Amino acid sequence: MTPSLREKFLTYLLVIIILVVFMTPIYLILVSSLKPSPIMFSRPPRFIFTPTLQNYYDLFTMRPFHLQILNSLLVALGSTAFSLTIGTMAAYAVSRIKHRRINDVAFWILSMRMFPPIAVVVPYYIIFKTMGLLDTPLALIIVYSTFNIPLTVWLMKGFFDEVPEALEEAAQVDGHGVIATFFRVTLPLTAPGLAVSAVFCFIFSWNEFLFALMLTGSKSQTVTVAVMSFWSSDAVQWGRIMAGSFVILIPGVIFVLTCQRWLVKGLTMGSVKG
Amino acid sequence: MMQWKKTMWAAGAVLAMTGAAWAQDKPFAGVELKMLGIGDTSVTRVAPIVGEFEQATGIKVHIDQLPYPGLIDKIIVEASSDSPTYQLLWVDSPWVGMLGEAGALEDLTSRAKRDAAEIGLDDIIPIQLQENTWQGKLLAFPASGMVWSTNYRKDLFENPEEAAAFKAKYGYDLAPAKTWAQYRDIAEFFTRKKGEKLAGEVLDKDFYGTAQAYSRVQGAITHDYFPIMRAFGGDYWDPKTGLCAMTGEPHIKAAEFMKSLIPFNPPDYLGLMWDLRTGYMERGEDAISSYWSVRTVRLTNPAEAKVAEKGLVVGYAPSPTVDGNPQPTYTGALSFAINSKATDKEKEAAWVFIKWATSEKLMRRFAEEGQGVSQFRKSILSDPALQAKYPYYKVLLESQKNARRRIFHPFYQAVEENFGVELSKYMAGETATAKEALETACNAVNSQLSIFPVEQRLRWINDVPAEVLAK
Repeated sequence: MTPSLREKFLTYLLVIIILVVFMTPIYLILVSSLKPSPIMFSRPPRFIFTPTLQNYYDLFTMRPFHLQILNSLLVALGSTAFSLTIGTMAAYAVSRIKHRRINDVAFWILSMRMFPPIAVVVPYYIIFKTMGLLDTPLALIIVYSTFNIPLTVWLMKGFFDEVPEALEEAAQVDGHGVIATFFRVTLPLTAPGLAVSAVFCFIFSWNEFLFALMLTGSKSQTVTVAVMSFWSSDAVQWGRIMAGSFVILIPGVIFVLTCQRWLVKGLTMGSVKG
Repeated sequence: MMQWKKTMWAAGAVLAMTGAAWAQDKPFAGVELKMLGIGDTSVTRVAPIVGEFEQATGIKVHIDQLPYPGLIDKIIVEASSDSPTYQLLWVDSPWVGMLGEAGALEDLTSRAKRDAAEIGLDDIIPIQLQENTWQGKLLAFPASGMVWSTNYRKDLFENPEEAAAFKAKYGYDLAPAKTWAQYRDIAEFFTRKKGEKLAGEVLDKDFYGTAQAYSRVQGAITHDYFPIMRAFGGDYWDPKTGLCAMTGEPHIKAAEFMKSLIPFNPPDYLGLMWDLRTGYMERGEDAISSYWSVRTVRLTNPAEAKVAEKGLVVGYAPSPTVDGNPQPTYTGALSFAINSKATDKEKEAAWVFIKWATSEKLMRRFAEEGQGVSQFRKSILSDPALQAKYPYYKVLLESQKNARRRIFHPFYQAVEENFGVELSKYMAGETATAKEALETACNAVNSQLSIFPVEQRLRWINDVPAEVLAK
């Protein structure tokens, strides 16, 4: 059925409203990052002004921001890859093992995600200090994985549950072992789930602040801490914070867009049973 | 052959002597220090030139700049480690009580006494040293001194039309406020709507009498409230119990006074915190405003403040009092400290760095180069050439003669958090009376304090002057 003109108009209106709501903060971040400091808080706000790249220049010259981006990428991709590897295999086991206590195990795994991060900061600090891992990307990869693995397990368990076991049995009849069946048959069918898990793991690791603040120094400082460090006791350097915020939006957007093809499929998979 | 041997011996002896002299000249050569710092001017001015320090001493210093929110937590976590990552710490003076009580900071008293002549101890404004003491020990060294003072639009105050209109309305001459009542009159007088005239010019937007911090975020409102409260005669603690006592008449009057200034503030007053409120003066959009001198330094720099670029003139004055007579000024300090868990050699090397980074030579260099650091040395603040360059120096120097330190209690953060929320709620009309707001905040602080014995609480509030200042 072709939508009427009125329906089309309402659809586009809704899309525009949603776009405005979601894009306004990004627009304000961009505009503020291009404003010279003295007019940052002019009244009424100035939208027409001579833009300057000074804040971006300061961002990369006053601090090693390019290295901090690399640190964040290393930590986020490292934790995402590690969490997907461990979490996917764990989720498969939880999905396939038939035991009356398996749901308790699954819940216990999920409960790891419920820890208030602040409660484990000091123990982590002492552990990594003892191991000589403070101010290294590895420390953050380990910490973020403890939060990402439970999430991956739960997300992927749902996807594995959807894959009929008959398919795996057929593969095994054809001569595949358990591992080959998992990698060649089951895992490809849950690609959308992997994409969803990867996006969530990446975004969590990319945006995390508390552990990054406590467990890193200058060597492995991530972008969230680097941007916030323009907040000092005598001034909040909004221009540089906005420039940093805009730059750190970019890798996340690229990553999500890359996964988008599988993401939509993954988010809706299983929503309609046929 | 004999000649060759002699030459070798002589060369060896020269090398050995040079090496010994070098070792004596640079006893800490090879020591590496890390500083847990912040992006504050006290650090950012020093950070780019630490290479010069390394060249002179052989000590390598690496400064990490972290965000202000969360820094105190990181210092506390760092202090819990027996082999610290950071040997040097940046501290805000109100933290000294808490960190001192936790034993996180090295006692610098004996070092300061030993090197008094070298560091020019007498040259440092006493209250700036006092800001960094806890229970008689000097636990940090000032790197940037803070004084609560008033900035005002001198060009408006000197405008004949405005001066005449003010006198006609209030019956006294328009001048920098000496009392809070005058401050209110000035704020009221200069509050103008768009289209009205200011100094003969028609305003194209609203102009505000003042801009105060009323935000509850990070206790910003308390920074504005405490100087007023103390001017009204209020104090923080009950001298008999050591508990929070900020519910008396002076405290209530101070809160009510602050609320009476709201009509002369920008409409976003509840969101105004530190730099957002000083931004109004920096853009020339309000008439009078008191704040920490660390932001005053921006007012003479066109790159940081539009008011300097526009050619508008800012004047500087001490913070008002109640009766116009000098009352203790509200002070603070941004300082460098040594982690008490560092090794002895690291501690000595760190002290060498602190002496260098806070030296008169370096501070004078910053002032002469035009880099804003809120100074804490008498010789710099009283230098006529520098006073001409930075007109606020004279005010900072004068107003610290009769200064009294800022809150220095281990429960400073609890005070700032609770009073920040409750005072802001009162200003927003969410709490009916100032008394109710202050009692709620005080009760919350006391619920934490009351678990400690009264002797301990009294020891905290009766902090003795630093031994290093005793004459």
